Amino acid sequence: MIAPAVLLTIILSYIPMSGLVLAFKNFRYDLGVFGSPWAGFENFKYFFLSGTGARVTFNTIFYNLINLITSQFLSMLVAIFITEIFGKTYKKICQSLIFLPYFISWVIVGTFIYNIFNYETGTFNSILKFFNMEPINMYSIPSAWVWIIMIFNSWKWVGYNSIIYMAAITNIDAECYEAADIDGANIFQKIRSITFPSIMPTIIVMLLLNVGRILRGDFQMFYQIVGNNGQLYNTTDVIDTFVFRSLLTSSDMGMTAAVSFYQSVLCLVIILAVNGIVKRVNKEYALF
Amino acid sequence: MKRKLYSLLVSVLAAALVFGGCGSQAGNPSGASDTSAVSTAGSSAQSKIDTSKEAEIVMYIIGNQSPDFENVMKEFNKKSLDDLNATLQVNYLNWGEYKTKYPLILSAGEPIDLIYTATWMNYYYQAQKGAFKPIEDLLPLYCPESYKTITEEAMKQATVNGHVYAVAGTKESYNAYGPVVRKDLMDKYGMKSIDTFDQYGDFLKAVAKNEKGMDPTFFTSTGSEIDDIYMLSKGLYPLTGNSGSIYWIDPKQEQPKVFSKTDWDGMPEFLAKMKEWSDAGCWSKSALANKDTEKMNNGTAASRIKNLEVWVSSNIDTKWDFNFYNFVEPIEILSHMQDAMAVPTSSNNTERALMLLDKIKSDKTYYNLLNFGIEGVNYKIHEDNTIESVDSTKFAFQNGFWGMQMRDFDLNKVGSPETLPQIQKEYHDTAVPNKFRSYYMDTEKIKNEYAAVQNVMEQYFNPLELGYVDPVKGLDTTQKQMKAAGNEKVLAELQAQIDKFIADNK
Repeated sequence: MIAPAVLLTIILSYIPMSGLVLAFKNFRYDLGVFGSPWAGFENFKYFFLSGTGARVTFNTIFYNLINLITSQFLSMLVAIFITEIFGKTYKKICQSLIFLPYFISWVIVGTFIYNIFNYETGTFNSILKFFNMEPINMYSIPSAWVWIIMIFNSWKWVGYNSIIYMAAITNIDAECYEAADIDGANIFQKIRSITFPSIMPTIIVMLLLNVGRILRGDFQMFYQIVGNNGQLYNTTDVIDTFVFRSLLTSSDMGMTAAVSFYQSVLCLVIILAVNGIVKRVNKEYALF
Repeated sequence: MKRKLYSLLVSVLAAALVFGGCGSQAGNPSGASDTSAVSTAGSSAQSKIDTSKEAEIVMYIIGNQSPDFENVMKEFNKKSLDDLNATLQVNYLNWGEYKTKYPLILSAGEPIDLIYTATWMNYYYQAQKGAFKPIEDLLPLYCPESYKTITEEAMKQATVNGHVYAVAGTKESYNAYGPVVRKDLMDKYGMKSIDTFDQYGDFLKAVAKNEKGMDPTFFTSTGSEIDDIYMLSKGLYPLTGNSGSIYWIDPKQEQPKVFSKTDWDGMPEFLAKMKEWSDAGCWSKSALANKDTEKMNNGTAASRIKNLEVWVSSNIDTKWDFNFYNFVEPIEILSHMQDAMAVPTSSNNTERALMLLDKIKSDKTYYNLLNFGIEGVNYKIHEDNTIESVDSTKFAFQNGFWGMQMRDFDLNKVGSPETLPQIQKEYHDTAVPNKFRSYYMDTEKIKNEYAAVQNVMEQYFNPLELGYVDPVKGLDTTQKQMKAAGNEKVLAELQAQIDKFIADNK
């Protein structure tokens, strides 16, 4: 019975892994992946030159962590609020509106952001000028972009993620709430003592799944919001955008593969570590 | 569930295909030696070329396919089947994905017979990495007609490690570069001509002061070209041959010394000027976040720094008239490798592909079909020898076929500036040769440092040259960062390459 699944995993996940040798090869088109000469660790070097590797690794982890926390926390809140809404039409409208940003591509969001924050004609500065305040040049304040990226990331993902939490909430036995009503619990007490503990396993699974990709920046998001704007690199450059830019001009396959390899190895280490911690705290919640 | 299974199956198939492709190529590591076998056989006694077997030539070019293209290809293949017993299958790599897809299709092992290549598509890098077949021995045999039109200089520019891997058309592009400026605004502010860098600054300042809601000039997030025209106007030469080069030389020197932009003597003066212009509002404070490349054509910018081609197309495509001022001296013909065609290593029909290429480049009927479509349906030729598109949304002119553009076959489009033929003639007559145009940067040994240096330039120099940071302090930071990224190693390597190049070309 399990044979097809095993086969699929082998074909989709294990066989392509042999491509990782590319990270240690000096790739030649006429010799192919396995025929190309070995290059040792040469392909990894550019990534760590002049400290960029450390900076972009830090940025990637940092953004993924705050995005994970903010967007998951907000999704949970939204899910709880929406399930507490009584009016059916109002509930549907709310849910659709929150879900809508998920369908807007980052390319368009990038244009929104430029039109909001550009110095001369942006909405943000137009509002400041209307209130007789000095316009602010957002593009010269790299630290502001941490907030901008965080806000837009949550705005885009909250609706989508909240669906998972809503599914978890609808699965909670209604008798618990009835019993709480009879005991005279108010709505906040019900949320704290029934809803929250019941969806705890879902929260943990979501966290673990996202931690697994903590070293992969959401390339579309960063690239569409920041682009090639060097002014903001210190706070917004993540591994994926750095690699994309560095190799746009040279398209060296070995160097790209090297960074993928680095990301994958670090991801593995992190997910093993986090799963280990979860296991220690509560065995039931761990992934494996 | 069913749908899920289906999509899984599809992805398995796709993976198998990709993997199979890699496998078959890996199994044949002797791709290079195959070609040499063909070429030796070719040179011995192949005057009579066997075309009895029908061949399908697969060609990859860059662009978005026009809706009418299929009809034109039907017409084209009827002709080529009669003449060469071959059909042509053109595949477009769309603008949105060409950069990532191009190296992938070269390495996937799928047989491709002709592919577009160019300096800006990393021709020299890919040729060194064995992506193309050497064709120097095949060209006289299979491309006899167009072989005659290739200049010695073009051959030299296509040569990598002693082999020719690509063949260019005979189109000439010039290194002329400078501001393209709205004519009505120049008249409005009483400017007769823009001959110097400072006059251009005066124009920008006039627009900044008086035209609210309009950018005097604009840049995109990839950086500006204002430093390039400034340095070009001082007679310096960029080692990449194009704008955006980090490393430059002074070709007038006997033994030119390679230097980086940031270490150039004139840089502090230039940066101070840019700071002044920036503070005067000559460009947006968010210029580096801009992704709109059409600002001048949609009327929200008054000028732009570009070349002859942009000037012509802006005149045709918009309701305004534009003037173009060249700041570069002397006029040179750009490397022919700006646009060329190559035969990938995976090709199975090399001879026939080259014969077809020869046909396209020497037979006007073939040329016009690919470049302009079907006469009467897609284009009309006027009496004054200009060409007009019937419906450019149905069939775009010269869409991706730049690699085989022939100067004698091309016609100016209806609506191009009246002075264009005269300027083209003037450039053609006055152009001087520059031996450094056949030099190419080989970054293989310094790829790590070069990637790091590029990154530093983007992060520190792009904001600096637009006057967003203090010119003195900013330059100092940039220089320090360059040093940390390995600038000295890159300089030493490039200097060695230039010295060798000069010795070889004595």
